[in-house]
Amino acid sequence: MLDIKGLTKKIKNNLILDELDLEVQTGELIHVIGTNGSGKSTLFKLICHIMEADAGEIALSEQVTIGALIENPYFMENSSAQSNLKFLADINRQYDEKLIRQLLTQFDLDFDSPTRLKKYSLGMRQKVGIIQAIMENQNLILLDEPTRGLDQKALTTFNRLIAELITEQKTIIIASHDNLSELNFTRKLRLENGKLVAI
Amino acid sequence: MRRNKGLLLLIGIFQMIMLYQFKINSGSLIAIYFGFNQQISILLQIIFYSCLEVLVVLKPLSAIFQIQTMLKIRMTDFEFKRLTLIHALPYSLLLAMTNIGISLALDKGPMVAGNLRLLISSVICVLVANKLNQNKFLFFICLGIVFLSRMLFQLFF
Repeated sequence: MLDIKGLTKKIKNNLILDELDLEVQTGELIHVIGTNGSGKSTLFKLICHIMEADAGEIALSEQVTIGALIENPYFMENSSAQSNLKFLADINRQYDEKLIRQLLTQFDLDFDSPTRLKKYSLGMRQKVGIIQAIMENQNLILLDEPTRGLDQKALTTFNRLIAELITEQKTIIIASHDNLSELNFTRKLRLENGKLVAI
Repeated sequence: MRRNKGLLLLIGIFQMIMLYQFKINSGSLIAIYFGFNQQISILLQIIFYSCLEVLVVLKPLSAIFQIQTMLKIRMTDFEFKRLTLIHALPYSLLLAMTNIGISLALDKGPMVAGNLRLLISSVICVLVANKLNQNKFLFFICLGIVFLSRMLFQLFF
C-alpha cells in the first residue's frame, strides 16, 4: 500500500530524515515512537505531499486515499464543527452526514451545535481532528499524537474506533508518545537519527 | 461574509466623508488618495482606510490558511491556490469597484491611474498571501504595498 525508499529531508541544514525506508501493507496498524523533533510530523507531511522530499521515493498504491491529523488541528475558527467537516468533505464530494453525525456522537459532540470552533477545548478540537481524518472512508490514516488532550472516555472511544477501522482493512499509522497499550499494533517502530527501527 | 461587506461599506463611507471635507477637485483627490498631506487628521484617515482595504482582501483568506494543512491533504497545490484565489477575488474586485465607482462619480481623469493602482495592489495582496502563508506578516506586507504605491503615485504624477 505504501512503499517509502531512501526518503531524505533536511530542514534548515538539520537532517530530519536520512534515507528512511518503510513498507506498509494493507490493514496494518503501526505505532511510530520518537522524541520531539525526531521527524514524525515531517514524515507524515511528506507522505501527504504537503512537503517535498530532498531525495527518495514515496509510492502509494492506486485507490489510496489519505486521511491525516498532523500536529495541532487548525479549523475555521468562526464556524461550527459541522460546517468545518462539511467544507472539508465537500472538496472531494465525500460528505456523508449520517457518518459524521455518528462519529461526533461517539465522541460526545453535537452535530447540530452552532458553537464555533474557537470555543472548543483542546480535547474537543482533537476529536474533530480525528473525525476529519476518517470521515471520508480514507484507507490510509495517519494520526500524529491523536490522543493529546483526550479524556479517559474519549480515549476508550478512540481505541474502539481504531479497532473497527482495522477490521475494515484500513491501514493506520499512529505517531504518539503515549503507550496506547490497548491497541493491537502490527508493528512498533522508533524514529531516531532519521531512520525507522523496529522495537 | 456579512462582516466583510460591512467593512467595504465603511471604506466607502470614510472616503466619501474625506472627499466632502476636502472640497473636491482633481488636485485634492490626488492628495487624499495618494499623497501624504500635512494635516495629521488626513494622514490618520489614510492609514485607517488603507488598513481596511488590506483587511477586506485578507479576511476571506484567513479561514483558508487556518485549515491549509487539512486542505492540502485533499487537493493538489494548484487546486489549493485556485481555492485561495476564488476566496479572495470577489472582495478584491468589490473593493476595486467601490473605489472606481466613488472616483468616477466625482472626477473621471486622475482617478483612472489610481484605481489601476488599487486593482494591482489587490492582486499583489492575493499573490503575496498565497506565497507566504502567514497572516500576521501578510497584513503589514500588503499595507506596505498599498502605501508604497501611494507614494510612488505621488512622485510620478
